[in-house]
Amino acid sequence: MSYELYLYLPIALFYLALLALALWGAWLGWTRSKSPTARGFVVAMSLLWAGFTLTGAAQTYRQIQSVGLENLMKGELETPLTGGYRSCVLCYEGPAGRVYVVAASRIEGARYHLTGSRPVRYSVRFESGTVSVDGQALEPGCHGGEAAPGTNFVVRRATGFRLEVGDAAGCD
Amino acid sequence: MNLFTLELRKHRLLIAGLALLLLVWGAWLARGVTGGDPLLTLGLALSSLLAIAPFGVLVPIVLARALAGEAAGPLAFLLASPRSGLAHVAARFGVGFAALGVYYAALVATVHWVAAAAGVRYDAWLPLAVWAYTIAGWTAPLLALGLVYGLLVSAYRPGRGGQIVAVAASAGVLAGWSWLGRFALERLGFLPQLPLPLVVLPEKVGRFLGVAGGPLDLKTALEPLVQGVPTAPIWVGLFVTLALLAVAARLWEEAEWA
Repeated sequence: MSYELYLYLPIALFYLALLALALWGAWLGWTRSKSPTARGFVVAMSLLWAGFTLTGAAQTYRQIQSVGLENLMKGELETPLTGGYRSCVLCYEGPAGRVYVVAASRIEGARYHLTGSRPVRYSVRFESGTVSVDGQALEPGCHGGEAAPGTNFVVRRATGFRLEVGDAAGCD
Repeated sequence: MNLFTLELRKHRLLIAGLALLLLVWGAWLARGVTGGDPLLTLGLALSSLLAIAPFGVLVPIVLARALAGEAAGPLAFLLASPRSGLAHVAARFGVGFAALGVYYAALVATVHWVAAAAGVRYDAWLPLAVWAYTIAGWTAPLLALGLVYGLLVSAYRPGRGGQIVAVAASAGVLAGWSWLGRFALERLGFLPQLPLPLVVLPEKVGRFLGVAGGPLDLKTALEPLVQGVPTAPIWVGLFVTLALLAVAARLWEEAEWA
């Protein structure tokens, strides 16, 4: 038993109490109601709510089984890219749909390289600036292709920059 | 007198209150635009919008509350005449929808006017899209939910347990709402998307933020980050509204008004 239980137990008890109150209210209504639509609506909503609760609990249980209670809510994402930048305006770095993205309206002094062990699809798009892939300078616009693990993306300075990595990456 | 006019007269206090709120807000901003700094006024308009827009939630609350009050009152027999629940529900929803539609249209139009005075340029369809998003994605489902909730108390008759149902239902609605939102944004991406609107802020804002070189073009700045604005919440909101209204119409006919 670890100290996290002191955090999770009150939360679980709160939801159990809420569920008990709801069941009591539902019972009171059921015994007095003659409306099939009202009964059906309450049952449908209760099932929906129970479904969410059970799905969430099952997900948490599976997660605890796989990483242990101590490591719940901790850990590192396995990203297909690592690296960083010196300065950046309006940036986003992370998963976006089916690709992993580094996007910025303006970025300076950035250096990223591909992790992983297999070649992956990528696309680089920028409006102006100096961007190179494995030392080869690119023209402004969109460039796509496949890159081997360890490929370096170096941005001296760029505007409208978007780097996508993943099977769905492309210049559509 | 038809049901719609009757409802309108019943809730004239609420409607007049919202109109007064709009009037005071508009007059305050008009003073800023004509006698002060329009750009500063735009900042004030946008920040006070966050405080004044949620007042719209009063409408579903008052409508649901009025239902309970009438059901307990001496004129409860009128709730079963005419027999069609659809007519009653349509009248009540129609009044709420009209009040909130005009309220949010006035809010959007006022901000549109202040923004134009402050020298912000944007696509002509943007105000309309913001209004449609607010109305379809948030206001209409909430109104329909208020009606269903008010009717459920009359049809399900939980008595004093109604407050328990209220707590449970509120928690359930929040969970359901966040689930629906995530479902709309993650699974319904194939639905058409609105393009990113063109928004150009005046040079003064750019200088204030430390970005040199002319007016600040938000579309160009945001383009690498966001491809478009999904319309899925609008379609999901419309679907939920229609489903809840259908439930409300049937509940009306099955409720025991006495």
